[in-house]
Amino acid sequence: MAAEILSDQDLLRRMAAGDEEAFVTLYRRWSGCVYRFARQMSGSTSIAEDVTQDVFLALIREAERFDADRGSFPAYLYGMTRNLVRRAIERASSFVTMQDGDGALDQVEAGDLFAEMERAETVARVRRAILALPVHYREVVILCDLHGMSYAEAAAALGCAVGTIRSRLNRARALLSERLGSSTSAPVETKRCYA
Amino acid sequence: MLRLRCKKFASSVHDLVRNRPADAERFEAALAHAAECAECARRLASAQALALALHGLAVEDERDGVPEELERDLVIAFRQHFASKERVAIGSLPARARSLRYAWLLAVCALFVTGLLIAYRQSGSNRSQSVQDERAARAERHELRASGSPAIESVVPEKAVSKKGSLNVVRKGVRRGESLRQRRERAPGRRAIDGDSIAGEIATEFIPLVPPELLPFESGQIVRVELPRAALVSLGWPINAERSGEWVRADVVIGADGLARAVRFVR
Ligand SMILES: [Zn+2]
Repeated sequence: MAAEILSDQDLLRRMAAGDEEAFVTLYRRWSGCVYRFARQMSGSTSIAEDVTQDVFLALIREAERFDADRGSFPAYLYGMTRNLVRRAIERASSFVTMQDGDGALDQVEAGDLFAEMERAETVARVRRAILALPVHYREVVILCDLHGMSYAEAAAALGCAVGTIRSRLNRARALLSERLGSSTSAPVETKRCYA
Repeated sequence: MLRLRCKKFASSVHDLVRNRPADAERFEAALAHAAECAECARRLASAQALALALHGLAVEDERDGVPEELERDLVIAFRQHFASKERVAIGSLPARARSLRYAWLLAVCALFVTGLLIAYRQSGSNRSQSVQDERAARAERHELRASGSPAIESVVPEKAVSKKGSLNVVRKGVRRGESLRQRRERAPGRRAIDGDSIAGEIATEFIPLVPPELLPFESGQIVRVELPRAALVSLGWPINAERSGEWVRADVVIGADGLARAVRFVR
């Protein structure tokens, strides 16, 4: 059977028996997510590389540690990545102190925001705004809004309640909106403008 | 159509935007409220702008690939991991077959050690028997030297014989009770107990019965036992069929916990 169509769990089982193709398949399936999550969390390419390497080395050494009865593989993988990236951030905290004194970033008009959406500068601004969030807010925004996880999946990955995810996410989004300056002057997509 | 109050709207506006495709009815209700409420209209616009910004970032980051050398390094690490696992394993038998083999050998050795100890205690040390044994051993050694080819080779797996293909001639100087670690320290680079035996005897190297990493050895004793050659067949070791009724002598290393760790065959 082609490795590409196997489930994560089957790939892990094969990996544990020394199947290199299974490892490569699992790596290609998930390394992008792990790498991006680590990079988005840390703002550092080198941390992202180190964390990605450590995550997959851990899988090589202890593939059998994953227990499907305790949660999904993505939750397990993201949970492991999150722990490693948090440690890395603590060791190299300078990577995430990109905000200015009061936490406010460049202000931008919402209209401009739409216009600039495709531009790298805007992306960089959003990235900086995310990096300026406290870690526990940052990770929920990245998991749910950038990686498309459901609240339940994010709760499993971070080991907390769904309600915690929801409340952190609300707070994180409010902070982001504030910092991106889009909370005060955005146009509305309604038939009537607010008058 | 659902009506949303401002407080509820504020707390759910991001979810409304996020779930818009799946929950169109609720989103319509939000739009209707926003059309009448300036504050909530601003909230909705803000949430939409943020969702769009985050989407832009996610799309941008999707383009970022993981450095290719990372995969290459990890594949190397994967190969090394499993290569080292194989090195740790003794022989090429599958794990279960190996453990069965060890279990058999342990059982046989333990049986004979126990039997010998009981017999020894019951009869005391029988000097005339020892003299007889020594004579027989001397005669065997003479025969061995004359033939030039050690007959014991048929009993011992090739790996147990020293690298040069000949059996080790061992000397006096057994320090019974000395730990393997102490012996290693005493003779660095040599096998743990290699070289310890009775004068004039010919012995193989010690063959581990259990991987040291599974059952560490700190101290113990070397006990001389006799085994029927047939017992070795059951362990998967080749013997000369004509001599299957004969007995072979062996030194078994017994740990302080009473479990056998290694064995060597002696002539
Ligand atoms: Zn309202």
